[in-house]
Amino acid sequence: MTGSCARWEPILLERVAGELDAEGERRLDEHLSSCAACRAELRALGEVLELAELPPLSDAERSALAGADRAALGEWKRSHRRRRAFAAAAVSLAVAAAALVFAVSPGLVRRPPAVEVPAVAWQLPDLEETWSAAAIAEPSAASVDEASPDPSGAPFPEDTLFAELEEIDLDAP
Amino acid sequence: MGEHRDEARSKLRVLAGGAGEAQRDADLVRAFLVGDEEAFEELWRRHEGVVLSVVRRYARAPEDARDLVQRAFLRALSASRRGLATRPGEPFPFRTWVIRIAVNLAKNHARDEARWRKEPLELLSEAAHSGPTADETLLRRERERIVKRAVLELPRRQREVLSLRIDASLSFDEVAEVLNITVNNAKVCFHHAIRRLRALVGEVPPDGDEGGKGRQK
Repeated sequence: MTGSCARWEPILLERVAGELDAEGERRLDEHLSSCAACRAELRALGEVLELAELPPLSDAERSALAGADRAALGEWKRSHRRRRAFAAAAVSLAVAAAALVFAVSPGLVRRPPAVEVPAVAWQLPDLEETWSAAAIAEPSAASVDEASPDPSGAPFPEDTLFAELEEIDLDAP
Repeated sequence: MGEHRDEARSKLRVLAGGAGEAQRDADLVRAFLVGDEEAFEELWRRHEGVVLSVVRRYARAPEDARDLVQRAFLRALSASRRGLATRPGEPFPFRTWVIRIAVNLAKNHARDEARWRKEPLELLSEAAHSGPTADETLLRRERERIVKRAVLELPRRQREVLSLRIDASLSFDEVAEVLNITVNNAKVCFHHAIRRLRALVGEVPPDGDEGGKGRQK
């Protein structure tokens, strides 16, 4: 734009941007009614915006967007589960690391102060009382009989076996 | 002249948020973080459109746009959870966060795409023109392609402001909040972007009368 119309350019830009107030609209309309150059410029600016506008949504775009909200929600849930699992693993790892440090380097861990135990002088126990109080089984006479290792007195099975062999007559037909 | 006035009016819309909407978002986020999946669905319904409009210009394929929208939501929810954990009493503007995250994701995606492909919008444009409504001339399609590519090659801040204003229909107040700049700065960036694109269009042979056909929607 040239000449006196150059000062109207910002006003024209405000109109295409939708920023003119009512008074500005009125004054511009008044000017446009008598200025073909500004009318042409306004049309050109409008055309620029029209050429720059995006086309309406295509069927392919609508199809691609169908169900996108549910997919996003699913991704959020998966991400949330991973995050919780990671947090739990981190806590477990921290606990395990602390336990390992405690086991391997006990000197590194400050122990609680030892409990003071009052010292008591050691005394020799009363042996007589100790022995008499103990229930010691004295062996009976039968249990120490060497001829009969079995306390019940039954013959030893090996002796019984030899006695039977001696009674067998090998020469008998 | 009345018809001319209607034609010359700005057709850019403004989809406002508002304090009440922000409080509703905060309630939904809190409900979702304690397990209410319906709250997630409502959050998605409330903001899917604006997030998609932010990332769509940079997506090479519909699947890219879908992935970027999903990632923007998940990151915004993670940021909300951290915010609630560290500053439980403070409000948090979920809509602003999710749009800001979408802007950054889209910018990074465009940067990665630029390493091996220059025109992420080519497939979108082809899809839009392949239907029964494709009655525009080849010349006009070429001008569209040139302008859309020029938008991607604008300085970053100008591109972001332009996209948030014409793609996401945000007011300049909200554009400024999302990008953490002043409202005046947002307007200046927008004007610079339009001037730059206008100069580019001026170099391309027009396909209509008297400086172009005007806005035909």
